[in-house]
Amino acid sequence: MEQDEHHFVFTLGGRRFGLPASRVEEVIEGAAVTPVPGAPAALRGLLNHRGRIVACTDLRGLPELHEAGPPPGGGPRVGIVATTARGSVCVEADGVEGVLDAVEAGRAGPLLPLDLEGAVEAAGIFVETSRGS
Amino acid sequence: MDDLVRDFLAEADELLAELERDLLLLERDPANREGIASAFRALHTLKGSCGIVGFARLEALAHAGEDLLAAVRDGSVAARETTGALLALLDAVRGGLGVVRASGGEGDADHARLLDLLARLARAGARGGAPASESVPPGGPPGGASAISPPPESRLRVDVRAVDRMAGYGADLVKSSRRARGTVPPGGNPATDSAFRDLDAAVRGINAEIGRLRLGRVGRLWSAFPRVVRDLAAQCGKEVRLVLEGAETGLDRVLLERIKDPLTHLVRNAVDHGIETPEFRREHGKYSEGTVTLRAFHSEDRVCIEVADDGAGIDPDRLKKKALDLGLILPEVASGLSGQDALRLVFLPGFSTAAKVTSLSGRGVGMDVVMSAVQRVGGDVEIESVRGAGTTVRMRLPAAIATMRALVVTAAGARYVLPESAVVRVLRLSPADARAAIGTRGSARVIENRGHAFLLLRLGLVLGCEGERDFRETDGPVHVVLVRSGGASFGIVVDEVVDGEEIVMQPVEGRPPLGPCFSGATIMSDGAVALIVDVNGIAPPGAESAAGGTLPRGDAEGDAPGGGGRVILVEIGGGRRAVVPLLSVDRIARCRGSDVTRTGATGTGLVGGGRIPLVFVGRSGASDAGTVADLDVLVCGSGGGDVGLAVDRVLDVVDRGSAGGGELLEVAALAARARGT
Repeated sequence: MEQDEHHFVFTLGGRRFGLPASRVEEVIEGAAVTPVPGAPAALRGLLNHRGRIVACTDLRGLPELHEAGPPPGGGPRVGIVATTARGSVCVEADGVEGVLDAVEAGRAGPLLPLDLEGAVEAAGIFVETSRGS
Repeated sequence: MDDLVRDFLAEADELLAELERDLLLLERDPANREGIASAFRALHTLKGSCGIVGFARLEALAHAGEDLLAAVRDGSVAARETTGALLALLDAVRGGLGVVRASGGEGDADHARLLDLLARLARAGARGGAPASESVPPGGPPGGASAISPPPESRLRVDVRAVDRMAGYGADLVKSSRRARGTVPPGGNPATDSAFRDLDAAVRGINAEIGRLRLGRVGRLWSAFPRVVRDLAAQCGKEVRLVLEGAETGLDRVLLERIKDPLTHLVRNAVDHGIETPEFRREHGKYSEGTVTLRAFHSEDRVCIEVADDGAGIDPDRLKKKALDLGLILPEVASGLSGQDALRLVFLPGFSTAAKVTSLSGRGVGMDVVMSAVQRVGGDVEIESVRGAGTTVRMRLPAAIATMRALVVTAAGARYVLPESAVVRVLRLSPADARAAIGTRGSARVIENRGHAFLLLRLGLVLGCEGERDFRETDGPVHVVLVRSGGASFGIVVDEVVDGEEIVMQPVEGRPPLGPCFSGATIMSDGAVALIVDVNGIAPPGAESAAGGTLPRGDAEGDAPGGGGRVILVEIGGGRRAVVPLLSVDRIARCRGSDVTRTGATGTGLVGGGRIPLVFVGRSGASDAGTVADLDVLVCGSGGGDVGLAVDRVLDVVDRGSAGGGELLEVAALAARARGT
């Protein structure tokens, strides 16, 4: 995880995750996600984010979350649109705590720094390593 | 990666392409002064650029090459002794750029041996005079030409992704403008109408400019092939001359990137399988040197890229035999194929004509891969061949990838998009018609249409979104989209055909794997994302053999929409002709005059076992005897049940632009008239 003074903290599967705040573009709710039949399970679908088509991912397949169940109450989940070196991606989360500095983020409980590039690659969302097809 | 490095990579790619072209020229013509000067300029500029971004290893390579070329320019070293080493240098720099691209740094590759070789060659020249590098005028290129001219101030280097984003916004503007227009009744307020006209003009202008920004020159693609052909010919023991035409032809940059691999495949095939050995050519009265021609040109609204060779050509009978041996077609299908139809067999998945598998072209031709890649960008591939004279493979591509005509359908409750370039015909069958037209062949469903059989697949089932069920057992109409994919034609059963629409194919951020069934995605006018179906990707295996449904050439060419609006050309009496948008028509039926009742311009007719309302277009159906003549009926089913547009005769299916100015019929208005609404 990059050094960043502020963490964007969100919850997923009962765990608290942190992303460098500078990587987060927007938090969205209720966006229409178009499922992609036959795609990896972690690819929930595609959504229109301000004119761009962005992959929406469910990272519950991550090793850290292998015991994670559905979100509490099964209520609507939020999407965190974040920047990666390969382009933007939307990460589904159960909830958002907000932008906290390192001290605040650690005070509320254990925080797992999320390696976003590694996570989406491990989930099979971004698989190409070179330009072109 | 910061902008400086990104700019450096873009510039270095261009410089290496120039250098490669110059070195290959020098290999053939060592005395070519302009070639030497141009190669020097490229290396000199590259050296400076490497220095600016701090890539010392790459800078050292460029510097060593520059020294060597200076010795060549001074005449102290013969060019022919240096091109091998300079090409090795070029490969090393290109490898270094790959490392930069992957890691952001130049890595730690050891070029000591290559640097030593370059230095030794240069020293051989320098022994007769001053060190080569000292003879270079400081800050200037050889020959006194001002080669390192500052970039013109009227130009900007723009990030392609920014242009892509602009294209997305441009597409949104079109949709928003349409939506806004739909909220205001036309003709209600002249000022509003005028404002909308201005808005439309501005939106069109913006999108046209964005399209131009995205254009790149085909010459960018051409630059790689002299080396590819040179190396390949040497490996094959063949003599091949490469001719490049149409380098200035403009093509969308994304398309340029997407067709690079298929084009390389075709060129390799031409050299490896097309051009004969020098001995064979001489024995058959040809020059020992074969010619491969890459040609780019505009044709109507398309850009064509051809790979032509003057080699052995393709034997259609051999293709048929191979297809039979592989079980790709049935004997009765093979016997009915013309020579031209047989050539299209090479596009069938799994087809290979190579007598032996070679390391150069892999398993034979792999033309299905080429077809698939071209279809993914809304294009098509044609092939022509004359035995003994050569083969031409032509990719017909949209000039801009940004927009394409598409058919919007639904399956299993979701909306999907089919490229219109693959759609042959759209059928809307009543339950009775469906039961009559759809049969079985083995375990597969097959539909008979215009004397041909097409294997059927259900889109929802293929995509894994719904289970097996008999789509003939339905109370509602059955919608079938007949498509052509490579060498096979087949039918896709969908829940509904929603509309024909101009869509913008947009990149998906990060390029996640969409699987073999989809070629991309688009944002629809309501803002939701829809997936674009890759017709080649869902083609059922053995479509030809199962259904025997290959289209005769005339039929296939006539029906396959080439994008840009396909229309049905009809005769409407009194020598007049008119056109109807292809996608507005569900099917065409012949109706006997005795089965028609007519009152003025409307009536009813017996079509497909049922009586439907008709509207007589123009003077269609009139006869000298005062009775109704036999008619062709264009059956349209949108809203309120089937209605028929009665015309004298259906002539052809053509591009709107080549319809000869026939009146465009307003289908919705005519249908309303037929219904008496």
